[in-house]
Amino acid sequence: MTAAGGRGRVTNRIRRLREAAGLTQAELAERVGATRQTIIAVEAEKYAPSLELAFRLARAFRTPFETVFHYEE
Amino acid sequence: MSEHEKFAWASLVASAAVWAFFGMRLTDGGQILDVGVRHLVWTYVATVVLMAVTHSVIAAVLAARRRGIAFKDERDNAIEARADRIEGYVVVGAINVLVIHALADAAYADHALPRFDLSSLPTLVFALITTLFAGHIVKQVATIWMYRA
Repeated sequence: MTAAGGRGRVTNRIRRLREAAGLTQAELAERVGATRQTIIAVEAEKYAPSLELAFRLARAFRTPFETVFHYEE
Repeated sequence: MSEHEKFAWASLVASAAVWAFFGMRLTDGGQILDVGVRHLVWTYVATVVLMAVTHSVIAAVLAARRRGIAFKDERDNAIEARADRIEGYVVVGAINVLVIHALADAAYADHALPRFDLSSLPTLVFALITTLFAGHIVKQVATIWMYRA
């Protein structure tokens, strides 16, 4: 369940955005319909979320998708 | 630790214990016993009931602790799907080993593989049920590993 697959790697700024919004991992998980363990794994970049969850995360922070996620070649 | 990981740990321990019970009923000193059909049927039914009861108890205890049904998100589903696939590989691999062994027995009487007679009912039942247990146990180990990776 790693974020790294093939040549590229998906990185994210979820931890920084979450802390800036004053949210706990559990609160963010509830907002986006995921478990706290999944938020932990996404923040640690051990799990690359689906496109749907990734959009829900970006929407939870009211920021553009590309501000939250970044694809590194 | 997620609820699903806790279930995997508990299922791993319970399955190993039930398999140990099954093994003790059919083997002695590493040798498969030539037991009668009644003994085999009783052992099989007891094993199935034990697996059902232990897993129901585990699910009930976990549900009582969290007071509700465990929420499953996309990562849980992805881990479960991969673990199911790995379980399938183990079962298919083990069945192929049994088939190759049976063919080797028939074609080459002096082969170097470990000896077990699949034409004997206790041996056949032991091999097939152990294959299912191996698949299930590997699935739980894979689940735990993927939650922790």
